[in-house]
Amino acid sequence: MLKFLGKRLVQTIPVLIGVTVLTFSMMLLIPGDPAQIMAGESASPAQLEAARERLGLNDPVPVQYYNYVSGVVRGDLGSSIRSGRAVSTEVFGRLAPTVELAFYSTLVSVFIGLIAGVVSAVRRYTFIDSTLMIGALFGLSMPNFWLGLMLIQWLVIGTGWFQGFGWFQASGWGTPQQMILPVITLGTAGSAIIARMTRSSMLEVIEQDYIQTARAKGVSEKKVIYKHALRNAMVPVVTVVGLQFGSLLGGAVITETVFAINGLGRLIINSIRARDFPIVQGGVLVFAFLFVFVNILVDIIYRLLNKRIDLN
Amino acid sequence: MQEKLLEVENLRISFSTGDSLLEVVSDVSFDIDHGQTIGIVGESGSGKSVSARAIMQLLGNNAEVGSESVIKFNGEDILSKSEKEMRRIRGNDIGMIFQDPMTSLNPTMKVGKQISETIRIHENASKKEAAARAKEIMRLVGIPNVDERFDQYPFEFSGGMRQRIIIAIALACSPKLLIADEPTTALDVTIQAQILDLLKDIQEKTGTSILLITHDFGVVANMCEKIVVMNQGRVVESGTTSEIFTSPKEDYTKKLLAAIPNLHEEKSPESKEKLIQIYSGTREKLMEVNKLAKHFPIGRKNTLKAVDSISFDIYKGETLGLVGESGSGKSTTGRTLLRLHEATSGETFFEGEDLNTYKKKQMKEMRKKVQFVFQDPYSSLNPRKKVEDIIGEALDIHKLAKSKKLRRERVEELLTLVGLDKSFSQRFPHEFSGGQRQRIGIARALAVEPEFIVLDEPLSALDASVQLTIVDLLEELQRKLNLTYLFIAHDLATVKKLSDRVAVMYKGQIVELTDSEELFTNPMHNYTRKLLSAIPVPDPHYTATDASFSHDDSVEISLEGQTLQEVKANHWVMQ
Repeated sequence: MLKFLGKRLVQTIPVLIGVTVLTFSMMLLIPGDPAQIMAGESASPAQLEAARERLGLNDPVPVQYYNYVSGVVRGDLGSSIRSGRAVSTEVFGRLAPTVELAFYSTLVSVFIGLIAGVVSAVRRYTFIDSTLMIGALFGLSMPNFWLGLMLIQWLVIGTGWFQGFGWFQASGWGTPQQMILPVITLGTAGSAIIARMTRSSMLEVIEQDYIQTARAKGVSEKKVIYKHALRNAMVPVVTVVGLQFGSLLGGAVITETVFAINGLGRLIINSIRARDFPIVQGGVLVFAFLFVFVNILVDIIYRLLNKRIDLN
Repeated sequence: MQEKLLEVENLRISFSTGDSLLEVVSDVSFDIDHGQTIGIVGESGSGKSVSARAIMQLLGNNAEVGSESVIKFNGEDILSKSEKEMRRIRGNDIGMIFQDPMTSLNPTMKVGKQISETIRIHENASKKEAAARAKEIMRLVGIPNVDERFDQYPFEFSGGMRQRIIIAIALACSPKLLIADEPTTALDVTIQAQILDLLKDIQEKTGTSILLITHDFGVVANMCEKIVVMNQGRVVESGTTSEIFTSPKEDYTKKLLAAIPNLHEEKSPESKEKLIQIYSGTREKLMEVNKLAKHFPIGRKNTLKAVDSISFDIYKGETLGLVGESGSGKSTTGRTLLRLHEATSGETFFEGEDLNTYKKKQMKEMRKKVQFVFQDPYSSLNPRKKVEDIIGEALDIHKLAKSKKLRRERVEELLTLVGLDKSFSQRFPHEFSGGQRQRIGIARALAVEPEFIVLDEPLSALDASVQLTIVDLLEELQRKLNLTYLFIAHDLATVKKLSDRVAVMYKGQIVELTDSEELFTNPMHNYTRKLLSAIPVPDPHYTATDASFSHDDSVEISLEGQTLQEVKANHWVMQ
């Protein structure tokens, strides 16, 4: 296992290098001159030149890249144009709500998705199955900013049914009342995808000969499903969960904006508006690292589930 | 009088397909005494497996058992039992063994746990007790290093060993009845012999009754006391094994018995003539294979020597049989020969020209002369294409049809040639039976008028009576079109019938090469003899004469430092 982990970590190095190349080139690809943005529109040529020198823009591109990467390795991501504070401070200060949001949404979508998928597969072609799958289709089709707005409209502002209870709040992060709606908003699409994936994977597994073997042993139907079928059906589902987590990070950008959560996504959006590029660059870099890290985690779970992967 | 263990009376089973009911088993009756082995023999679609599943009540939701049907097990009516009561019977009183050991074990569960699970369900045993019992049973079914193997996963076992595990699962609670549904069909012939030996041995030790379901008369002959022959959901005939073999009453039974390949049949005068020409050097060589090798890398350090330096010739118009068990390298040889795999080393000459020097264009020309027929007629035809387009595709690739009309005519001509109706050209593969599909596969191969066809296990997926008709077809086509065949198979019996000469492959090497009659009457290499002795003999009165071969796998046959030598005129043996 350790050997595998080591190997897997080494494999991420090229990916991480790729990520830094991309975030670095963001700086070069920005329309206009970064120095101009830094120094402000009314800057004199001398000020511009100073800004350029300070940013290292006069160096050849490979040297700039080298400086950037060595900064990243030391944890120095530059400093914000607006606040002047270190990017790392700004970004990591906002990281917690985003990761929490993505994590809880994943939990919720795995929980709902697995149950719905298994029930659907076991009750194939019944009313329950159709209802769940139509529900999943809706969940999949609704853009999450719209869903978020509708939830706010119905549960917080609109009908009045829930008003006064203070169960749901449409802004901020930290208390359960604040967290429920964003988690539902972000987790819905994931639940739907996982439900559909689990259903088709389960249906395939249920047809397998070893399920027949288990039944012929006298194993009860419930145990056939949960002990024999589900674990095998989980293998492709885990992959989807991993990929899903990545898109949740992306979805967080929108959800945080809708619910006014002070997370990394909102920070990036605001920084784009304010043309605070070092922050955007740092935020994207952190997102990418998170994504890579989660996928290593998925690989480990995958291996634990499916011993045959040991061979490769 | 002691009560019967199992009585099945007037069993009728229908499956609902959409709105209609399809009756697959009608009026089937048979019974089993305590300690008896009976065989249900029938071809695919005869309803034999479905009947067995009905005994376990494992038919699925869309099946319906007729109200007049009775299944009594140990005096108790099975059909009136609830699902909960049935669960107590499954795995406890009746154990079941399935056909395909590669897919019948849960891949994510340790084998030991899969065996002890049965014990834990039915007996109030602690984890430790169940594990101890499971290990005991693993020893009984002949698994070595039980303590170590107990905690391994199915992928770490070979096919034969997995089948032993499945048998162990079925035996875990000492059932009174063991239902074995084609337990050896997916296995190599030497492994089949081992598993059959094991089943017999277990019956002697435990006294369980066995219901053996198979399509193979060879398997039942020496296993069963009674035989039930089924066809299209009905019992055709039943009786004691020697009655069925010596005086079958029904035509269908006679037909099945006639389909059993006869190992002692003499070759045709035509084949003998061919051999004389080959051995006297008057027949032209089509292919010459010289020290051909194909190695596959496994990981970074190891290589698998799938084909390890083999040499042989193929003469025009002959059939060379290439026999071996799975993993012997026979299919790889066929593929490497035609450069579907690039050879690791060695030379192949086709009509005197070195294939390794061929460029792409020349290879395409060559491929027109050489065709493949594949093993599985179900997956080797594109399900979304009409037969006309499946066969016509080869014509298109080599631009052999000048117009749509000519293309259609050619396809129809080919269908007639392989014994099918020409109206079939407008149908899709799923509308055909396995045998018909294999005929379509052959028609596709014939489309480009090849000289040489590699037949890669073309019969293994077919019923015995269908196999016979395909062999006849292949022989007829060879005569008509002067074709040369390389016939790859694991089944010695069919090889004997079709081949003029036979090469036996083992561990990537040819261990014996001679004409087919000589090989069967005078096998010289130990491995060939082992293969021959493992063929189940379809004769209930037969007792093994060559007792020197226990079908034990642990006796490795070493090829270390041996070479293929002509020990007798035209009989090459590795030694």
